This record gives sequence, structure tokens and C-alpha cells, in this order.
Amino acid sequence: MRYIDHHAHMVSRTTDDYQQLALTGCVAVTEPAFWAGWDRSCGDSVEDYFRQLTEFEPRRAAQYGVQHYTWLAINPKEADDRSLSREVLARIPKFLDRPTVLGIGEIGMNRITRNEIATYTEQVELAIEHRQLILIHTPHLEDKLKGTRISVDVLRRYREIDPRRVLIDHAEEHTIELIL
Amino acid sequence: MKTQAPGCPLTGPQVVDEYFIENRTRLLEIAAFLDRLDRVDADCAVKDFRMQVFRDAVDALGTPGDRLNRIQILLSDPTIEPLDRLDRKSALGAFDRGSKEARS
Repeated sequence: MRYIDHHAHMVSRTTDDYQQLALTGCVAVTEPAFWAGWDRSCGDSVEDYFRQLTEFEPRRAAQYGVQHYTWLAINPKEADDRSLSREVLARIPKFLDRPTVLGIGEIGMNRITRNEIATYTEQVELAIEHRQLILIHTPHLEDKLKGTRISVDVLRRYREIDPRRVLIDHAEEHTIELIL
Repeated sequence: MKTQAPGCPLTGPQVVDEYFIENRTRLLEIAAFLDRLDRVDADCAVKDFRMQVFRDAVDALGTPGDRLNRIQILLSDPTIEPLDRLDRKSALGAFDRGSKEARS
């Protein structure tokens, strides 16, 4: 069976993992922008990450016959930092016409702070402005329900958004109806 | 003759045959976890907000129907007010219903 892994953070995976993906029939991966496990200090650092996602990672994947596509964003884990978020959002547009970029993502919330909501809203508006697909991360564990509710509420404010161009990810039993 | 429930390809006995052993193991793991906590700090087992919800969730297992969704809701933050500032990066697994956010 051939398949697409639509949510894989490949920059933190080894080349052996690409080999295993290929052996199991994976023909393509889509990689949402992620948190590095620690907070980056400036927009330039994230811009290097975007170059990794759009230049280096597709080449690495191709060595194993896997197509690599990516989403660009400031990840919810860093979205509370408004200064960093503004720097990153200013850098995203110049990457959007690269051939393997799918859209804006993964955006959303982590602990659901006012700053996170502001950054999420700006990223939604960026996607609308540039007619991009949107990939939304919903928070973990006890924060998932609240984060999903607020994410959907923000989307509802924008009549320009076509729901068919938005993917809300990490649904669980108690949030799936809200998303659908 | 017993028939399958809509959307379930297995009969009742087939579900039990397939999944009883792994869930028996999970049940024993929960029992061992609770026993360990009782041995080391029975007070924590009573007072820790996560364990309070855990007990409610175990109780919820006893009522048939929609158990998974009810337990997910028990564990979730039911509020809609955003945090004024980031308190930590990670979730804890259960909402503290005695917290300032819950009371506000």
C-alpha cells in the first residue's frame, strides 16, 4: 500500500527513518513547522529553519524516493513570544512561492494565552492574505478542548475562509464534533 | 444469533477474545499504580488534583455508554478565558479545578 504521512517532523528524524518510511510504502510526507524543543532567540534562526524545510529536507527525502512538502509558521509552542512571532511572520511570505510549500501551519495554541491567540489570529490573516491552506494544531491533554473551541471561534470571524482549505489536526473523541 | 454493532466488524465475543488480555493488563497497571501511591503517600492520592480527577474517571468506567467522551471531558479545562501570561510549556494531563483560572 502506498500512503502519504501528512504530519511528520522529519528534521528531527534520521535518514534511517526515511528508509523505513520508504520501505513501508510512504511516497510523500508533509512537515508542519515545529518547535525546536527550546525557544529560538530571533527571526533569523527561524528563517534558517525555513530554509532547512524548503531546501535541505526535500533533497534528503528524495534520496529515499520520498517527496517532501512543508508548512510554514511560528509553532504554537513559541507563539506566546510576540516579538519573535512578528519577526517570523514578516519572513514567511518570501518562502510561500517555493514549490514544496503547502501553506501556513501548524498554527494554533499551546497553553491558550492571550499572546498565543493574537499570534494565531495574525497567522490566519496571513494565510487569507496570501490565499494559503491552513493547518491547525490543537493543544495537548487538558488544554485540547479549550484550545479547539477558541481556534474554531477565531476562524468563524473570517467569512473569507473556505473550510475545505483548513485542516484542524490532533482531534480526539471530545473535539471531533466541534471540528467537523 | 448475535450480530455486530453498526461500524464494528467484530461480534461481542470476538471483541473480548481480541482485546481482553491487553485490557486486563491495563487494569492491573492501574491497580498497581494506585497501590504504589497509597504505599508511598496516601495523602497525595487524595489531595493531588490529578488524582482526584483520576478517581472520578475510574468511577465513570462503571456507567455504560460514552465512557471515553465523558472521561475526556472530566480531564479537560472547561473554561474559555485565556491565560494572561504563559505559566509553563507543557500540559499536565488534567485540569486543576481548584486553580485560580477555574475559580475566575
